[in-house]
Amino acid sequence: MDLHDAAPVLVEGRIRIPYRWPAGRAGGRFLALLRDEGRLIGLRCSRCRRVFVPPRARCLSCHVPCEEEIGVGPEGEVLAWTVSRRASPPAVLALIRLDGADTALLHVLQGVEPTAVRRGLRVRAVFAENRRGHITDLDGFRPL
Amino acid sequence: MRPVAIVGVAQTRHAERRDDVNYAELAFEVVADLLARTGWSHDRIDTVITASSDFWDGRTISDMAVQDAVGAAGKSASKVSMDGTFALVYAAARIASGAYRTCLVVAHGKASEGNPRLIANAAFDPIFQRPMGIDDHTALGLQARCFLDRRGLAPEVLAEVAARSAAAAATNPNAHRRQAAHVLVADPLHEDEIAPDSDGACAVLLADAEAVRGEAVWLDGFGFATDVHGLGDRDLGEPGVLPQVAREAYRSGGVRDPDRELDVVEVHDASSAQTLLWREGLGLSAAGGPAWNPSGGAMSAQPGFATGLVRVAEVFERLARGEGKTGLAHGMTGFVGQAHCAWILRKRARA
Amino acid sequence: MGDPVAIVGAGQTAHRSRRLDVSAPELIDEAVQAALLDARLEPDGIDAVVIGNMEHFEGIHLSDLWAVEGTGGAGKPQLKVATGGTTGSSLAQAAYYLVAGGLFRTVMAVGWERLSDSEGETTTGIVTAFDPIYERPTLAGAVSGLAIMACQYQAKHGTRAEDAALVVVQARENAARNSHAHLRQPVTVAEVLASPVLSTPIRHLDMCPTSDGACAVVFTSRPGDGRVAWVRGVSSRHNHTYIGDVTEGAVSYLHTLRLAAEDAYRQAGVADPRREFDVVEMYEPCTWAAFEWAEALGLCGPGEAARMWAEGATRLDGEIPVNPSGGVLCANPIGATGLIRVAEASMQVRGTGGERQVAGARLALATGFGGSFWSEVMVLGAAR
Repeated sequence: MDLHDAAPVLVEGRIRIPYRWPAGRAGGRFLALLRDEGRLIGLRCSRCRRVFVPPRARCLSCHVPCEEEIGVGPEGEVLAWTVSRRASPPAVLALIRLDGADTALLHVLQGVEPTAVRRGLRVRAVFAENRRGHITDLDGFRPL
Repeated sequence: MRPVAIVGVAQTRHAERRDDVNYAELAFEVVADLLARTGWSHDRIDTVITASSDFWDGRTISDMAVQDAVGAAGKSASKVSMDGTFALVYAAARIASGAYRTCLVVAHGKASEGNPRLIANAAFDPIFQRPMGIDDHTALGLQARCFLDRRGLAPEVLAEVAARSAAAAATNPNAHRRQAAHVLVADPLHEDEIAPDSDGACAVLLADAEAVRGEAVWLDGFGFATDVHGLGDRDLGEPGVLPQVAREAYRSGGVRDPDRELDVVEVHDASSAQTLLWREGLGLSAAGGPAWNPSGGAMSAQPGFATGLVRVAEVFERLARGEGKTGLAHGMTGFVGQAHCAWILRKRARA
Repeated sequence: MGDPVAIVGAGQTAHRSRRLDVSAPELIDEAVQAALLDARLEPDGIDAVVIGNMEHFEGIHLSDLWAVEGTGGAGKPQLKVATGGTTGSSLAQAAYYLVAGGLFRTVMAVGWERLSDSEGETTTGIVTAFDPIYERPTLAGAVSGLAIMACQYQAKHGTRAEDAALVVVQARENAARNSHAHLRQPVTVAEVLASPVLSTPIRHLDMCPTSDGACAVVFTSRPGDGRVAWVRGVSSRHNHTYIGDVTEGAVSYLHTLRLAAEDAYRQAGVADPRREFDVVEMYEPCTWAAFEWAEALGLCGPGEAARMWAEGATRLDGEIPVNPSGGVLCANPIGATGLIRVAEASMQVRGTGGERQVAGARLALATGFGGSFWSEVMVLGAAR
């Protein structure tokens, strides 16, 4: 039998491994406040003064701990967006710089046509009714 | 770094699906091709560095599967879990240390075996980014939007760039032949402005100066670095750490004027926006200068971690054929350029 | 070979079952900060980072990209090396070659793993190590390959379960002096023999745990003042892919370790390992493996390993102390485990072993194990 003529034999499988990831000290604090108090924070680097959102325990460039908690948002501006056309309905993903933050948060935009989105668009966070300590405790962001 | 030369290269004909082989056989195919072209045997190869992704292979310790294919049994071998250009760094280090005279580098990627979008989603931190459903295409979309906005360009520019990449790919016998539609996938990017998901492999054989006679293609310089991780931590419309990486490659490779001194450049451009953005990041002028992605770049084939190593192979082949003396091969890990690596290849006599 | 390379600092976390209090980058950061402190370096003093971790265990693809938030590697050259159980030792080797080759002056190797991320712990992640067509449906995980080896060893030498159990009894005694170790409670031979069988003859207490933890080690070609550990020998050997091909005799006699050790000994000028080494940090995934490895390393003759342990030669105050840290049997954060062996060996040579210091240690051996019976060896010495 000539192996090259044979139709390929394909074996199907799936890797099913459930995971559970600790959000950590900085991320955990952010999510706990979001869940319990419905508010958003960033952490500020003591050296360069940059406010990280989501918060990071250590500054990415200065390498010193970020310990100062700064309230950010709930409003901010859109820095970039894209439309996931494969999603049904199409979803608008965006990078949103919350007021008071120096880095942008990745989230979804709601209640806006993709053609109406512009860099600089002012938006406001929509908080979920039932929050559990997850980034989706924010339903998304809506234009002001 | 002690001089390291490229003895030979080989790559597969990249395809949407290679259902006829598993990835170990794909690696075997490309290694067999390389040995045939160079006339070398496994006995002459002192050590092996492979590049593969456990997620792509659906297998932890994915390199275990290719040990026989790459002739690693009985040898010291290791694996870099990044694009092949980064594996090349480790390979060059092993030879530069004097502990090994020759080294085989093999990278493979079989996109068809898994779900590339799901896998890409898993590359984002699981706390803040992954739950938003981001994947490589939507990340590229965000980047393309930033890029266009920054430079005040219309999206049609990307279509023109994609057309040029496609034209070059048409001349590339190893290109992944595909029918990509001009439909929006992740605004502003259309399907034909995003690199394909390919099955393919690439192998590069390195040796120290003793193994080389006359003119050869040398790895004369390199640079690599990893950027910040979060998509919102930097301006995706800027080239990130690439200028720093390029500067280091030029400095170590003795290139002072890239536009004039480089004859050919091959970059891993996962989108048409990156085709322009990486050019900027390498410090090249918008027009003129070296032959740019003559293979079609990643738009011609994107076989996972083999993609950057294929760029090295493409530059090597052109220099070996006499189409220039100095080239740059670029690879990246992370779809929007979270890590970059650049190599300066030069055809010359032994120093 | 190339520029002489020394280890000037090492740090590790307290390895535990679950580190739920930290994110992955925060876990890594703990080890990195400890290593920088030990090396008396600022982050800027690190020219490049080599990081290792097994993607499937955490479910994080391209984990090195997120890890920069812990390694301090953003804006720096960073390589990811991931080779299964040998990841940690592979990291040490990669860092060594990057420095020895003159590519960088100072490189930090960082290994980490958080096995508690995947609910079923290692076995869920590691099942995917086996070929999905032929082996995955039948091979249950890391234990099965080792059990095959242990059965053959037992058949060849008549070693009893009680003999093997002594290895973990001693390991726990050592771990009691190591605050970083995960399992530090003493255990008796009777308890080992009473523990459930995982895969004959390996019982639960014969086997290494799964741990959450991280380790970082700094390699440099320009050490300052202070005691350092010079890398005197580096070697590794790989093997075939399928368990049936792991060549004749190999499964009961780890020939990759024997060959790698011979190579490393030759580089280091070691002729009589039993006499010349002051301490050994070996990667023993289970008690039975320690016997195999000791023989492959030339520390004793075939079938004599059990006696070495029984006679106390391997104790902290013995002739050839093995795993004063408690070894893999007491802590196993997979991406870090092999690197911890190197870190512990370097601490012995540098005299920073504290309560677990082997008096006057000047020559140390560190080994790594994983994949399809791959082996890695590093020799560290006080003298260059």
